[in-house]
Amino acid sequence: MDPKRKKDCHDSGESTRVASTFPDEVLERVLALVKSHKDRSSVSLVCKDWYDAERWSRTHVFIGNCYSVSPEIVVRRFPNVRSVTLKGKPRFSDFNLVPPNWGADIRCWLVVFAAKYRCLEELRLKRMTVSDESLEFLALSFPNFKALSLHSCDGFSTDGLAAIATHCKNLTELNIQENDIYDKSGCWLSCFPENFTSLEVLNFAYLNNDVNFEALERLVSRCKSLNVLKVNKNITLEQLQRLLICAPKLTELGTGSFLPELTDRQYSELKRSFSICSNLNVLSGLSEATALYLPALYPACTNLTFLNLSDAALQSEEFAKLLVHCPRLRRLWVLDTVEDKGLEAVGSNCPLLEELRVFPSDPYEEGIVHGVTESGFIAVSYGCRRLHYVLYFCRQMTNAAVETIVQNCPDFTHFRLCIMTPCQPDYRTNEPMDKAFCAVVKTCTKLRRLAVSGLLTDMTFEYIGKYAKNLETLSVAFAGSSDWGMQCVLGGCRKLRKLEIRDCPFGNAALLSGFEKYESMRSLWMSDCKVTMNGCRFLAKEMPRLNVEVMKEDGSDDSQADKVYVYRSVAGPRRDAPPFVLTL
Amino acid sequence: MEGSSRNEVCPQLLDLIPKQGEWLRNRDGERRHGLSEEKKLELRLAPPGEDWSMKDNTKTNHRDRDESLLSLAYFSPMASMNHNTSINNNSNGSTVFSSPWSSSAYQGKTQHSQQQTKAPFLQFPSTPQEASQPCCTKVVDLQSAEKKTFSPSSAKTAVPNSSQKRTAPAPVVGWPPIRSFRKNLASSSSSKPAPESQNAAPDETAAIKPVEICGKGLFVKINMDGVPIGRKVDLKAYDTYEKLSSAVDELFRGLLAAQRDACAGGVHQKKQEEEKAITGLLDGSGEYTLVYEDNEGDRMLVGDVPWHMFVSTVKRLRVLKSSELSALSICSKQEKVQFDSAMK
Repeated sequence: MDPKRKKDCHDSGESTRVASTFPDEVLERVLALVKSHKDRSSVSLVCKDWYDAERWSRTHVFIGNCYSVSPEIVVRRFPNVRSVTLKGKPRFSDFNLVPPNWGADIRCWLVVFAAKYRCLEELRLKRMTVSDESLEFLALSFPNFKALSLHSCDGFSTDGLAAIATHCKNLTELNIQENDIYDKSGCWLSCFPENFTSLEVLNFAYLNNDVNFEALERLVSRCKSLNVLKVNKNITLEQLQRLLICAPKLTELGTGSFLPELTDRQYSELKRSFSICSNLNVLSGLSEATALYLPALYPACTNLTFLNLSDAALQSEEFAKLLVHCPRLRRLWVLDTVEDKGLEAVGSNCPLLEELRVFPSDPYEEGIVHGVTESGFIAVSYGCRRLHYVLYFCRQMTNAAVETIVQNCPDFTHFRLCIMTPCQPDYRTNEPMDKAFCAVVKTCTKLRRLAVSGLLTDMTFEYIGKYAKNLETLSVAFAGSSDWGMQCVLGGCRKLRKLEIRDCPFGNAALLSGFEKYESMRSLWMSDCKVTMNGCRFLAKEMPRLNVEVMKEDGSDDSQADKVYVYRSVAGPRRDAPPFVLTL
Repeated sequence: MEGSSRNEVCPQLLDLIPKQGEWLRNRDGERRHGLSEEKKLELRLAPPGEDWSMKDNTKTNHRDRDESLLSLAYFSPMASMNHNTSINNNSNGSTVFSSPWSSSAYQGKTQHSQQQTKAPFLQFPSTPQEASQPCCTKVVDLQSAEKKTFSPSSAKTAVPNSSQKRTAPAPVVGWPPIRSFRKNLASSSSSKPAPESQNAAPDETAAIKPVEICGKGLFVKINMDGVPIGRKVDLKAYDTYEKLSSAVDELFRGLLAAQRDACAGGVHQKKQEEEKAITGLLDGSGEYTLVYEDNEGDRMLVGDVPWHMFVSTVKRLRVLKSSELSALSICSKQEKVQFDSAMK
């Protein structure tokens, strides 16, 4: 839908209907087919009629920052919402940079939703604080509730899950992913009633306690529509085999422990079970997998598009052998235990690869560390020309390597390179890594997300400002030489939405150079930079529609603004800010 | 004194990198005493961690000053670069960087005599573990060790005793940017929590989450030759091999005695006197020896690797009769040689 064309249909200021106008009902029907929330935002800006039609037909609302708007405003504007996605804390809270009890509590949202969205079916939360009471309230307030997804949330325990399992009669999805959960017991799984059959997605891979296996087996048997099952590490291979028999139509499987503890007969049964799982697109888990049992998986890998080995410390040989059986792989997550040799195998075997994430197995170097180097990345770039998403943790990199890589793969949309020691230069030339990221932004015109690392001067940021015209998210740490760097980014990156910075020499001049820009962005995070309280106060005063929040650390200078979080909001300053969050 | 004059000329520089400073001052002293070469060799041959731990107390003295000076220096690259070039007479044409951070690091290195074409750190005679990339690893070491003083928020960073870990970088909060659950999962059955600094903030406030993600103890099975019933031991409860050894003794002493009596056919009345302590588990001197199975399925002798590494790779424990050890093939892979010469 071309917004311009829409505009042409309506004369401005006309309140009478023109023959070419659609009646509301038709318009709403048509707009209901528009799914992307960005498109919907555009639609709503055309004219008042379209705004109204859009708001009545919207069933899913995505709120990227829970404090940018209040629940009351949301329910007032969108009366028919069935599905809500909410994101809370700043992303750096994943890395312990945000103290606990910061906020982003779902409670106030649920209270309002319970009054206005009786038909709420789906709730997807990321980095929100969710209490057990909230979960119980959720379970009891929405009779049609179907899908709950909690990603990187905190504040709840398995008791909350028990409440969901007990009361949500129509639940289709329970996705508990990477949360800071108080894992009391596995009893919650047994709370699903015996006549409950609607489950389609069950992910409890990151819970630590044993669930009652018999209850799980019965649950999987009777939920005929189950197509996503991700179990935790306590489920043994033998148990997994029994589950596979019950659910051969799975499209996504997360195994439990793959520790080789089976008898020969059990192993053949396992192989047979995997061979009937011909629909698998996504495979994960495999913790403690060794070369011994991986071959059991081979028959199930033919249609795999996403292989997540980030829990399995595989070595290069067994990894390479596994890859031979995964020709259709498009997304691959792996630990750096596979080393460069393993990545060479990726280049050789996965021509369709679009996304690669390599995680460090030993980030604090507690053991003997090899990991991956620039050679592995280069090898992948030669073999996988469709690569457009990369997250790469390594201990060494060179400018030349990155230049080669982006020449091979110019279509990067997400380039996240983490050289694990801060301020590390090109290890061959001892130069800063400026040239590398300059090459990235110059060559990859479609770049939307960039994370930089290594020793970087302002030159990197000059280039980013000059060339990264589609950049939406930028993450910076231990980089830059002066305010000029950040000024370049704020001045040049038109589409910038999220900027997160830590430990960089950017001060008030940099912060204030972007003050008009922040209203077009979702948020700005700056921690341990050179910004002062006065600078923040000035920003807050000049831009009343921005929330400028500062968190100070114990023992720091009174004038320093240690952690600054700036975001646009139509809801005004937070009312639930804890004492350590100063709203300016 | 050359040392102090050097200090005056470039206080920022030396304070930026206290270890380097120490090293430089040592160097000056060495030059004067003509022991430079040997001292250099000494410094180089020892793993960096052990070297620097000697200077721990001086580091602490400098740290506070470092923070403010460091920030000064860091953000006025020009200033320190000038310092660098003025002092760096022996520069081998190494690139002057815009960040004083690394330039001072390299400056220190290039002050070495002309014999080295590269800074000694970069030419570190490789220890077996780091044979493949001595250059970068040492750079990493230097950078990472200096990281401690770099961040003004170093109040948050725990300063580990660097001699414990060979090449461990000083932990900076939230770096590398990896989710905590991934840290715990990545090393299979690892019980080592994230560095203390990272957990400091959450622990301080009232815990709605009193348990960290991998909250339960690390229980591994332990079986003993001659005892049909196994036990489980929580490795998180110990921090040294000695403590583990005495725990094993406690666990099995009674059971072993019971087995012996059962075999002997009698009912033991005086349990206490007949129980024999199980000793010498770790050094091969006792009747029994402690071995374990690691995450690759190999049987290994307990005691070779640092405790935390052991804990992160151990899957189960076994107490074998020492006499039977030579008969067994403990290593499943040819490359791994298990036997200690003391065993024979």
